[in-house]
Amino acid sequence: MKVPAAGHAAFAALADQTRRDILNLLRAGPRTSGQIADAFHSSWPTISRHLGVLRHAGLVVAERQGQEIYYELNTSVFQDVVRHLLELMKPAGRTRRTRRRRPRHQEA
Amino acid sequence: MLVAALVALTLPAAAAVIYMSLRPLWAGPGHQATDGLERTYRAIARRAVFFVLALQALVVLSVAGAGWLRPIAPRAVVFLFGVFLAAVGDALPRTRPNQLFGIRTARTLDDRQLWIRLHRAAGYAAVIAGAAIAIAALVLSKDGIAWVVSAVTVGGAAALAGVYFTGLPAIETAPETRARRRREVAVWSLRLVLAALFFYFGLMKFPGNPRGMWVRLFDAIGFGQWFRVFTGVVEAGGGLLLLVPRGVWPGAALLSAAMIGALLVHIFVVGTGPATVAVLVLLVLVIGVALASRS
Repeated sequence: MKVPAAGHAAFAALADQTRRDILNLLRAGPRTSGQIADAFHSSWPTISRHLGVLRHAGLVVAERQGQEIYYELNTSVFQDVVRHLLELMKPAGRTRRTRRRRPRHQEA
Repeated sequence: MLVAALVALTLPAAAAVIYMSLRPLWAGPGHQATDGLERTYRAIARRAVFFVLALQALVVLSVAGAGWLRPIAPRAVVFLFGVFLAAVGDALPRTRPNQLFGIRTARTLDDRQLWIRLHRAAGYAAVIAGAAIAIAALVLSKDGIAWVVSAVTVGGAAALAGVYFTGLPAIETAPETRARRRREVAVWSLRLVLAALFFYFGLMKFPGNPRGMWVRLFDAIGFGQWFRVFTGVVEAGGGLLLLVPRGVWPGAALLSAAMIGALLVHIFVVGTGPATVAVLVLLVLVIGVALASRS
């Protein structure tokens, strides 16, 4: 994956619906990557990759607490405004993906 | 000439002293950093330096005798301050508990989540306030600018106090406790506002200027001027009573009586108008705050 320059990284990171949804989820408080992945339809590796992009852009920070790594929202006010504007300009008909993911397969 | 040179040097000298004395706090050992926080602090410092440099440019230009600058210099300073406030506010949500910068109380330093919530709110407040001040500096009159600055300062402080006290230990307290605390804050804020308003209304009635509006109004009422002072004492005293925990009921009783009297005066003496609505609203608020303050 191409790594954009630091100044553009934030905009590149904000240009994706799933990543904006992750930021929206983190507004409620820090979450582990597992908790974030549970809230989305995508698989854990996909979410993990999105988190990597967000972290590289400085939009989230990773904070270690004991065994777990929690992701905290780290957007500036300006970046929040950009995110809101992008949400408003979102093409009609697309549904939000923040619905709670159903439990995976009924194991055991 | 020497004085001018000294004036021109004051600001950078002060900035340098502050910078040198504070530097050990973040450059020294003993602070643990989350990734990327250095970037945030450097960004804030850069914005502060830019603000000081811009002010310095203004000072140097006016010392050097740029005549065209004289009339717009006050506006330019206010404008720069607004931009600076918005620029720092932009970065505030990205700060974390630290040795140097932010709203540092024992609670915010101890509770990382409270710090984050509070500084996100503070960032929004500062950006809105800074933008309002910068725009006001460009387009409004001197009085207008003063009004905008006071309004955004009071509004921002009230909003932050709300976040600080309602969001306090949000993580470990039960929802009912939080709801009750939120309600208490709301009721006390209303009491504070009403107390300030009535204290002010009461004080306004004291000066006995014969041309003043109050003297003429109480002439029209016809009980004599002692009644004006009496009303002023009732309103100012009632307002102060609202601030005492057990004073809500007597205070609200006094103020309701005053507001009912004012209503009667509006109806029978001066005629009703927009001010009558304000009196009605105040009456409702006073009764409401008394009812809501029952323990």
